[in-house]
Amino acid sequence: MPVLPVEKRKSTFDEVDLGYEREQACREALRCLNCGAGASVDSHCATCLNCLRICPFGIPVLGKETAEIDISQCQACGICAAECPASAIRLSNEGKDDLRQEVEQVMNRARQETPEIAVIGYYCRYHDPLGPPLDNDEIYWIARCCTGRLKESQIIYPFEIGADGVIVSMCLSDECRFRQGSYWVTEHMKRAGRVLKETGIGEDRLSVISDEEDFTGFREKLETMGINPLRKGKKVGA
Amino acid sequence: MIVAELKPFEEIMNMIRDREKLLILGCGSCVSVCMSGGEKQVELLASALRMARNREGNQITVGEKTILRQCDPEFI
Repeated sequence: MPVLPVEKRKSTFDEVDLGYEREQACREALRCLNCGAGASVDSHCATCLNCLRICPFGIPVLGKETAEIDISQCQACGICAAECPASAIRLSNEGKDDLRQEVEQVMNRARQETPEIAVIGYYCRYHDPLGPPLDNDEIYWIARCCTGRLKESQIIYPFEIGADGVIVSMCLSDECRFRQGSYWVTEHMKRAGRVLKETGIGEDRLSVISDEEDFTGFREKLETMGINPLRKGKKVGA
Repeated sequence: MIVAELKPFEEIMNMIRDREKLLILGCGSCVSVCMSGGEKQVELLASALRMARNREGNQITVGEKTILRQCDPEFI
């Protein structure tokens, strides 16, 4: 933390600790304060042991009948919850339908603002603590603590309610706070892409982006594909 | 334990072509472990079917439920 120079301290009663800059404060707030924001396993666990095998930190263990997660040790990346086939892992900082409701809220905003196209963007709060990675009126951003926690159904849901595209911003693999977040984003995007292909919506409406240039390319592709075929009219999200 | 794999999506679409209401009933044991019929897969299939049918202009109502075990009547 920046401090007042010693010379100045001699002649003033001003605060010695000058406080954090905005970016420093955001980084500092990300430190683990053992807030218990991690995952827990409920009674629907099928004991598939998926969570034991994929947790980047090796936290889940096999209990008497089901998997068990020590919430005080869990780093709360949410990757296990996205991968649990029985949806038996709950995240204490995110309800089951929270993301769905957020997507509906931003799509309601898109309906009022009526951009030419509406793209839902998911970004990682740890990678971009100061806010969305790109400033663009056509992108409606939703933040998550690690985008590796996005399930395939959550990636494709925006299309059901009229979004024209979905983009996900992720960390480079060696920058990921949760070690394997970027691997899981890529994996979930691939699976979601397959569903979009099968349903005829088009897998190209989905993309991982890292900068403005990526989005420009994606935007051009969307223009060629036209609006989401699930839109009933020209209006966004209608 | 029963081992299961996903049916091709097109085959499922053909099976339900004339239906307007559908219940996708998952099972919380064997097929969950196989990643083919647990709650997560139910949610994904329901979403995919709704999208595919809406795209065709042939709307469908899809219910989603997963029960603990389908092979024993006590659970149904």
